[in-house]
Amino acid sequence: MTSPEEFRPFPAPLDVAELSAKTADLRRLMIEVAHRTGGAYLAQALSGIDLLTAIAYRFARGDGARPDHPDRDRLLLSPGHYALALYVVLADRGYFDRDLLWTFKDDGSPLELATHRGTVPGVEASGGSLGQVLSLGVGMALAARRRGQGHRVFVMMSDGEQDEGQIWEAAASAAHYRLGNLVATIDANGFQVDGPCAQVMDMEPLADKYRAFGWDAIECDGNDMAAVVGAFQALCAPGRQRPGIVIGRTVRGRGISFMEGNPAFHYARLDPGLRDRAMADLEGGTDAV
Amino acid sequence: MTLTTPTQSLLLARPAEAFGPYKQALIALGEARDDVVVLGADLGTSTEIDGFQARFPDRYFNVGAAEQNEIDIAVGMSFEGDIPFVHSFGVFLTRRAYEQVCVQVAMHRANVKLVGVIPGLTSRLGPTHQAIEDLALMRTLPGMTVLDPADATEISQMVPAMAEVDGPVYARMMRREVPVLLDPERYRFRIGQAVPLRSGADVLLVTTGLMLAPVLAAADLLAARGVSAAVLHCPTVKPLDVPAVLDLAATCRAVVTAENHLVAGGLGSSVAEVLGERLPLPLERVGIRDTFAVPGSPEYLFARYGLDAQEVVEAALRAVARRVQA
Repeated sequence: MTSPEEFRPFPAPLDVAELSAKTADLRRLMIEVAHRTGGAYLAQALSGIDLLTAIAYRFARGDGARPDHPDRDRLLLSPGHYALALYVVLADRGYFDRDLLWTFKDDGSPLELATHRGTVPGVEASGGSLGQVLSLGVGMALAARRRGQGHRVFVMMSDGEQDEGQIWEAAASAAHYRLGNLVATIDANGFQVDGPCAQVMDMEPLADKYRAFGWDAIECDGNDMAAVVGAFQALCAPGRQRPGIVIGRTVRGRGISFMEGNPAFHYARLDPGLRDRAMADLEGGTDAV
Repeated sequence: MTLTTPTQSLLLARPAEAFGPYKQALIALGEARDDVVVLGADLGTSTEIDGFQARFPDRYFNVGAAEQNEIDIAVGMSFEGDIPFVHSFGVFLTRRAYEQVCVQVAMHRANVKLVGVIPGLTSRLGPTHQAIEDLALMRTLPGMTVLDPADATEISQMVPAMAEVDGPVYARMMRREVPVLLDPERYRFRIGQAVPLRSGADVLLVTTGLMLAPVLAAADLLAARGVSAAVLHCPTVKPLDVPAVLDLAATCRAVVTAENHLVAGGLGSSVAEVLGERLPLPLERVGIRDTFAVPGSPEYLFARYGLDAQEVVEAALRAVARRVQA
């Protein structure tokens, strides 16, 4: 006899309006965590949260109550410094107790400054060293196909880490093995540690490079939820034979007027005044998070 | 005194030779377990995984000459429950892809088996292909099991044992013509277990991998000179069988290590650490000194860099001369 648990469906996907409200809520939550816990890498968490929200609440099937469900889609975060963005998503989805967020990067807390597999449910990869997680995704996608499993593997990357040569080894192998079950995205906010990507190491045109490697690549405004959803929808069509990638053009610190494009907030500490200004910028949402 | 002991019968009376024992062992493992997958990096025949490929094409993945990607793909597969055996020459798996081995394989205790073919000075392609510090690199990684088999018997038994242990393993692997020294009817390989092959009272010879034959020959030469040598074979370099080393060292009061590797970081260092902490005794290490090697045939290189019976004999005589009586 099959238990009711086995029939429980994954949470329903959100529509564009719901996703937009959700990202506002998640931005608020990140601001609050950064404020209460002494700071966070907010610039990239804010640029990438729309892409991550679209994947986690619409395209990647997953359930915080059953984090090891074999049919879940795998969601892998490559640049570990985006940890806070993933943590607020996972907390909101019930992968762990929301109150754990207030321990972010405390000594002994499982919520480390960079993501580390095995710390909390839902963190499926360790991303502290750049450029490795796309390869893990290729391995997971190959394993899924060999076992006849239908789930997808989503990999979120940054534009700065495209400098790493291993990314292109992985890109070649994903296309070679015709991994239509692998969908990647790049939060292309145009900046890496030492400055603008165009000045530090220009890897553009990224979409042309991935296409030349045998991928289907779609560029879009990565902070426009309707555009993001449209891009992922095209790459998540059934029966695909090629890996797909959404290159989301985004803005650092997106959503907070005084942070957008401001390098001073790469690692942001928010006193009560800044916190209040940031919250005032974040209109909409449901406050449900 | 006679050197015949019960354990000596683990050795064949006459050494033989086998061809491609790894290739056969891997096919046999594929027959026994359907969770074993094989990854290669454009060295299919050279690493003897072509037999597995022919037999189990759906479980064979050639990722091209891209070892970093190869290792992390294997980690992704292991997260899904597969047991990947990852192949290249030892130098490329350990030198070129060290960070991938460290932060993805070792850090996650991933169930990935790294098979580094052509150990030490057995490559003819010179220092780019001679894995002379691979044991050191792998031994320092937390939780990594490190193996260096001596012969075809050991290889045949080691391969299924690697799949049995849950966690990362680095194994050196010999290919093509491989000596057969151990009696497959009597010998039983176990990870973490050292094998006493000869008892003796004056000096303990601790060996791993291809140095087993020269060490056994050295024990004979030493006997002829009135020095009684015990032989302890350590196919598992890590975790070292510390009780076995200490028990035999305590009876001999002098120790010599021998390995197809730098004297730094491998078996010699492991034994030195144990003796230094637990049982300080005269110790000599036979292996490659602080140098890269020139290209050449294995026979030439083993002689040139002192990886032979004569060097073991001389090291043993030096150690015995410094021996401290209890």
